[in-house]
Amino acid sequence: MNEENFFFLFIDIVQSRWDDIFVALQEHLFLSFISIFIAIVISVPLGIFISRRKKLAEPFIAVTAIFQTVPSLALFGFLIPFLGIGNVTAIIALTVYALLPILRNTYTGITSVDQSSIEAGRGMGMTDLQILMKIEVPLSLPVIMAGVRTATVLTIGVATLATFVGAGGLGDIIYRGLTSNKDELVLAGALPATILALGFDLILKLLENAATPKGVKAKK
Amino acid sequence: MITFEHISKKFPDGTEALKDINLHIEKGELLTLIGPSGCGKTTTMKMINRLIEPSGGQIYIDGKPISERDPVELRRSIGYVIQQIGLLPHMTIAENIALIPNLKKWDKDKIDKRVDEMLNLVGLEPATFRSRYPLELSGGQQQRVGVIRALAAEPPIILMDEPFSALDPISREQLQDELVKLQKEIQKTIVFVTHDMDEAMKIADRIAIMKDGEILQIDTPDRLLRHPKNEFVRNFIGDERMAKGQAPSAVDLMIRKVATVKESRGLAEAFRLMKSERVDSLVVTGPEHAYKGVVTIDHVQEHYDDDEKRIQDVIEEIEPISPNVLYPEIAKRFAEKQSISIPVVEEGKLVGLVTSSSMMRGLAGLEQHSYREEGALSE
Repeated sequence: MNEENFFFLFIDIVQSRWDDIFVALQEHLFLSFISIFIAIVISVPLGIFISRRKKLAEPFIAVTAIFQTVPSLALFGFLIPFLGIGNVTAIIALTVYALLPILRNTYTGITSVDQSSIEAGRGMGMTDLQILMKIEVPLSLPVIMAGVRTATVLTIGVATLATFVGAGGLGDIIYRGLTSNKDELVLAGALPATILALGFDLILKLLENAATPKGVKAKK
Repeated sequence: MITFEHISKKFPDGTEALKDINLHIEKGELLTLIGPSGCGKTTTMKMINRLIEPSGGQIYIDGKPISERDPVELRRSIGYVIQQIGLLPHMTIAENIALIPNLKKWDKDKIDKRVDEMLNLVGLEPATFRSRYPLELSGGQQQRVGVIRALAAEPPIILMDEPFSALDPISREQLQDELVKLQKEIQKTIVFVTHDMDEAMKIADRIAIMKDGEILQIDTPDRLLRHPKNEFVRNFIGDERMAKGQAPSAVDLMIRKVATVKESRGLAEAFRLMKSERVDSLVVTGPEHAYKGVVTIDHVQEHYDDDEKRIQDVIEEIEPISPNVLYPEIAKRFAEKQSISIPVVEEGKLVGLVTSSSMMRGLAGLEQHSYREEGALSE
């Protein structure tokens, strides 16, 4: 009986708070996407850069790995004294989190491209840019995409904490549920966040497959 | 066509890879650079398309110093084939072949025609292979594509860096033959690096033998064999030729015309046969050369007085060997069992006989005689 009761309460709260949930969902998506976008813009070129200067690779990856080990709640809290509260703080924190998977995968992807392809390309008279764009990027794209996928799922999850720096998102709903002791409200925030993460995981998995060059798939 | 003038190369760690290389390669010539690993042959080759820059000296192509040319533009006018093939796995065969023509911005129709022409040149049906991917091809097919990719933009010079050494022996032979045939047609200036003397002998107009960053001798294969300049060159030609083929096996060491006798024959007949063939043993066979055993003159003489005895009664069952048994094992058999001869049998059928003298002849690389002459020599 109790479960059934909870289910109706849940339906009820979703209906009555639909506007709030919808706004929170939009905020959540906004925060996640801006952060992922910035992380890609930083990490992909940086990954390519450090693949050219392997001595720099270890320190750069180590720094992003340290960011990753900071507990997410602590990171948000740590940024408040410097940046105050609001979207900017949340986006910076989320971006920092998304850096590592993308950077590491870009570096790994580029450096694991078959050297004989590159040697052949250079020997035949391809410029460095042509080697990058026609050989290295296409061949490492699946690995880079896998990094983006990991980062996206991670960011959508961590973005629920953005509420603590006043940046909104589905965390707002969850937090309100926790403080008012309404489990159904917690679920009304957590469920969309989960669906969002799983949905994007699936979409990006499909994109990753699409990014795998046909000739490389033939091998498997 | 290509001239090296006092080329030297010192690497930052102080090793002297090349010492004063002077070399002139004629137009339309296939020159192989050969030598033990670390001799500088690949370094020499890679200087032609400026993948490696010399520390001193100058290289000229058609009289113009290449240091004054843009490396990218220079490389597009020189075909390049490497051992690892290096086809781009994400591009179709047609796209791979069209790579340089595309970089050179040829128009599409011309490229398409050229791709088909190139595929036909190496016997790959364009309709089948154009849209395939490199990983769907065998190693030999991939390297054929590697070669025609280098030829596609019609470069006057082609550099080949041990292009066939990663292939299986059969594909390697095929591609060598095809290259020789192709070269007659296209008459390119080819610089071919290899460590395989047989390969060099087979394909080269001239061979440059290198050691420790120097060219020891540069000559036609024939002159190299006849007039090796020094001990190293002689050994290198010889050693390489020995080391290349694996140890000889039974099939190389056996005689094929073996004196045989049927098992139902009498002893007197066997004796007469041994006398006329001048041998002291006969291989006993059944129908269709089925191997049965061996009779020796000792056994025949021992039982000669018994009219009733047949070959089958005095037969000795010597364990035969198969044609692919290697030389050391055969030598061991001779030593251990004190055999005079060992029959070579494949699928139950007699194919030959290894005797101690046929083994010597085989090891010396001489032609095998029939048993009769063999017997005359050894008995």
